Amino acid sequence: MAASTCILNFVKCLIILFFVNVSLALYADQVGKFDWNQKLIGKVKYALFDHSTHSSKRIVVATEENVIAALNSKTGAILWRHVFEKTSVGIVHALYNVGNDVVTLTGGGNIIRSWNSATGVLHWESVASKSTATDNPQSLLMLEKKTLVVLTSDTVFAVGLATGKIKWTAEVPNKDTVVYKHFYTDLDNLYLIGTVEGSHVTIATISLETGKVKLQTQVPASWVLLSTTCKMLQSGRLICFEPRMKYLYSLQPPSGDQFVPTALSDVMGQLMVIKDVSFTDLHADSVGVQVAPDHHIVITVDASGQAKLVKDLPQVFGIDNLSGEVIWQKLIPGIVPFQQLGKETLPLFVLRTTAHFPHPPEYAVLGKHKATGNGLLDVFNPITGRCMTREVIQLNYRVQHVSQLAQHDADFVRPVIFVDTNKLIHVYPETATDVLMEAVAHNYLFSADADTGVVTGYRMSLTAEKGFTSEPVWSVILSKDTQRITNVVAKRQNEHVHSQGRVLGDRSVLYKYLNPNLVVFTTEGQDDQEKSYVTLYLIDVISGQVVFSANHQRAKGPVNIVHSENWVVYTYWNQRLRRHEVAALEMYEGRTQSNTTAFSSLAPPPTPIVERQAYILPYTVVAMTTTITEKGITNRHILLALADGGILDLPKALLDPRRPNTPTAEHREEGLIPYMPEIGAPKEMIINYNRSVFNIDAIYSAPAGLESTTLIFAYGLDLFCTRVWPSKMFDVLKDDFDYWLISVVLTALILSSIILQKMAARKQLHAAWK
Amino acid sequence: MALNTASMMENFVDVFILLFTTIVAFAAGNDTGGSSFHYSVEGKVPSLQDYYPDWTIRTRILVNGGQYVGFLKHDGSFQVQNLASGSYVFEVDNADFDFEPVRVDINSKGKIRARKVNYIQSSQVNTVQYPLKFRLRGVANYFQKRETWRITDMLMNPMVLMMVAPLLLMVVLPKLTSMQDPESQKEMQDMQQQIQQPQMPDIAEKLTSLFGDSRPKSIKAKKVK
Repeated sequence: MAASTCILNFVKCLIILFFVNVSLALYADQVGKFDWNQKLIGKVKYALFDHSTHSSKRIVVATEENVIAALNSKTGAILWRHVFEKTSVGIVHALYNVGNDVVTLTGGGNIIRSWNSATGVLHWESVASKSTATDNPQSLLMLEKKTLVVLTSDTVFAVGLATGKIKWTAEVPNKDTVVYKHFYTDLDNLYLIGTVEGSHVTIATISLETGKVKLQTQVPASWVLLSTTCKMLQSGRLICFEPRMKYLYSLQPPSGDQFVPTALSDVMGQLMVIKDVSFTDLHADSVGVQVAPDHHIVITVDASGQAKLVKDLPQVFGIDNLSGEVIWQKLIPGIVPFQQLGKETLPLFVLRTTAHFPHPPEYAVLGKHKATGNGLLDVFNPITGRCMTREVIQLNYRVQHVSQLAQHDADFVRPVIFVDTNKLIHVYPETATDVLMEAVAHNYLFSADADTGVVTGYRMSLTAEKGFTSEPVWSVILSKDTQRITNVVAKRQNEHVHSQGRVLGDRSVLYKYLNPNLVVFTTEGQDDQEKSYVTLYLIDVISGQVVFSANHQRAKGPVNIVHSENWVVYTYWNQRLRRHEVAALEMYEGRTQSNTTAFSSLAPPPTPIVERQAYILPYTVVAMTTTITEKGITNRHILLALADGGILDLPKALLDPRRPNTPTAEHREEGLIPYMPEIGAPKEMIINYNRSVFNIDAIYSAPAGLESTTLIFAYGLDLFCTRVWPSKMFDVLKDDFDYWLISVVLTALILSSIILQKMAARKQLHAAWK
Repeated sequence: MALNTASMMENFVDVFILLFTTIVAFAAGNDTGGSSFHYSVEGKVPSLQDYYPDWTIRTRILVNGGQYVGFLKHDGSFQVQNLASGSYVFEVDNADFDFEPVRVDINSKGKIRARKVNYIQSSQVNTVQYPLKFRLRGVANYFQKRETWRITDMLMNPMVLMMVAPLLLMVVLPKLTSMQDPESQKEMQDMQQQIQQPQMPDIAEKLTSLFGDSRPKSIKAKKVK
């Protein structure tokens, strides 16, 4: 009995899901019509010019995003690319060119892989199991005897080049006192060069065949520190840079027993203000010296004036969303991002849109100054990229909190307010103090401190002595000792809710609890039995009331959250059952609405009814967002970026906490899909078809001018931009509309009706004359 | 004698201590060498050479959704190294093909077991062969077909069939059966009349003759009288 109803429900669910699937997929000829994607590689760490005899010129690079790729040196196109793990396990520590192959060292110095540099196919990989993984292992070196040598923090091992077999592993001598950073080989021996801070440089000679330490010598060098930059040249010479006296010391192991100093000013010719020096590998005998003057731009200067390397700074790009090409890009010198909950952010504000001609549109980027830590604001025109003020605005205070007001001033600019560390409030543009005066009465601020675990609400006030200040009004302590705040998610400011409630199967209305001041906080912690848990708090940030809280025991982050309208959807990892789960939460006021005109946090409605449900996700979600439209009429879809490179488009109806286990006629009337524990990822719902995008950081959605369309932009390592139609294109003619057929039929009918009319008239005339 | 035994005892103790320490050192050495992160899992992905030649570059193995990544050699075999004991989900990350994921359990002694992935009943064990061999589920189909208009859509409509087909039969068949000259047409008409006219009373007479033979005649005769 139960089995048959179960099967029946399953079949019904499949049928419903079938219809849901078919209505959402793209057509094969729509590929590339509305979307574009770009595969990127990240900030280059190591680069090798391919010395193999192939005709196409190739550069093999390893980047800070843990990617190795081969680029065409003429066009920059990616020939092949391999993406390693995003965590520290995937950091590429070294990249070395060996004939037709490229060898990489990853995994904390443990895993060596050899790749064919033309095709990117893996030849072999091997692991040195005895060494412990570190974050900073040293580079590889090739020898004539077809052996690769790797140095990690406490071991050195040799790998055969042809098959990857580990030949020998040895511990470095005196690993507690000496830090080994360089090595050099000749035919029979390996020389390890390590430093003891403040006293000397040690050279250990190790046999290449067996790995046994033959000899250890010491060279006195009282100037040497752990942070001294040194470089081993291919000819066997060691060069170190001593920053205090600006001297270059050189040593020729193994025979050398003295460091030979040369002043840098003699070498460089002119005396520049030299702060920091690092070396690059150019030729066997010469060295490229990178010198960083105060302009924060790094150039390599050597004898023949070769490659110019520019150090990466956070940049702002203006990209055309139809084609994906970069229209403008700008460099903001001296800017550094803020650290927020473990992530780096550079807040971007829309001060004025293009809707107020003749005022040009204005955007602002806020960052920290690299040296002083004070705020740095860049106001620019988003269409051209040009700065609107003469130069970047330097604020003379540290910004602790930044927010944007909803009201705009006479020039249609929505001001941005900054709260500094002394709780004083500043506003940009400075002329907008009247708007601020008005806003002071109605706007409140809140801050969540991840280090102390305290969420504080502030109100703004105008005092005679200090001007605008903020003072705390309430605080909620999410105890710091056992848990840590990991996410703070508020609703989008430009979101519009179309319907106030949900129509149930018996034609009554269940009113939604729409609180615009609700913010979701998640904390992750460990209880006294070392079991991790995730807690969710929904706090009204004006009154400080904790509206709802939920706890998941034996669960772990990272938690991806979407908060919109009256619902919250979040994913977490269930440790006990070893699977990812998604939970959906909806809040309702009930059958009656408490306040039909406006919501007030100071006179709040009664505690809402919360409906919750959780589902299993058979895949890993990396980022999540929801679609948003101008009026909020279209259905909501949740977009999930998966670890395998697809972006999944799920209807919100699948994540509806009211989904029944045993549907009745009323549930069917309401249109609820019966409950199934697993939410799959059918291929038709993947909006980027087979153009995988890896290591996505976040997906951004924006309303388009049309109510049916939402613009989606996913960014991370790769970029992907497209449009989605959650309720299909109801306000636009479908793109395979048969203009041709209809116009042909129409003209044919018109012509035939004219001709037949004439023929009928002629026949009548003939008949009349008979 | 006593001295000899004492020295022998000392020697024995020394040897014992030496042996003991070497054994302990060996065990300790093994302990540090056998750290928990040294298991490696091997497997093979069936060849997709027929579909595209560079399939080994476009495919990678994701462990636990990207916690570890494995790369394929030219024949499709892979190794994921440095795994601690625990349970991992291995899946093939290829944009064009769908493979069945596998759950691999490594217990604390290093025994590796591969089983089917079941998120709903995670303790159920359906073992799968190890070294792993991924099974191809099918080609990933991301698109739906366009609805095209074909002439059979209109012809196969039941309304059309009910109305148009009889119409055709009524118009076409007589044209086929009718002869060219008017005489045979007249003959046909005469024949039809002949066939039709006597038929009706014939059947009625036959039926009455079946049920009762002479009665209608006698009745008729009587009535005539």
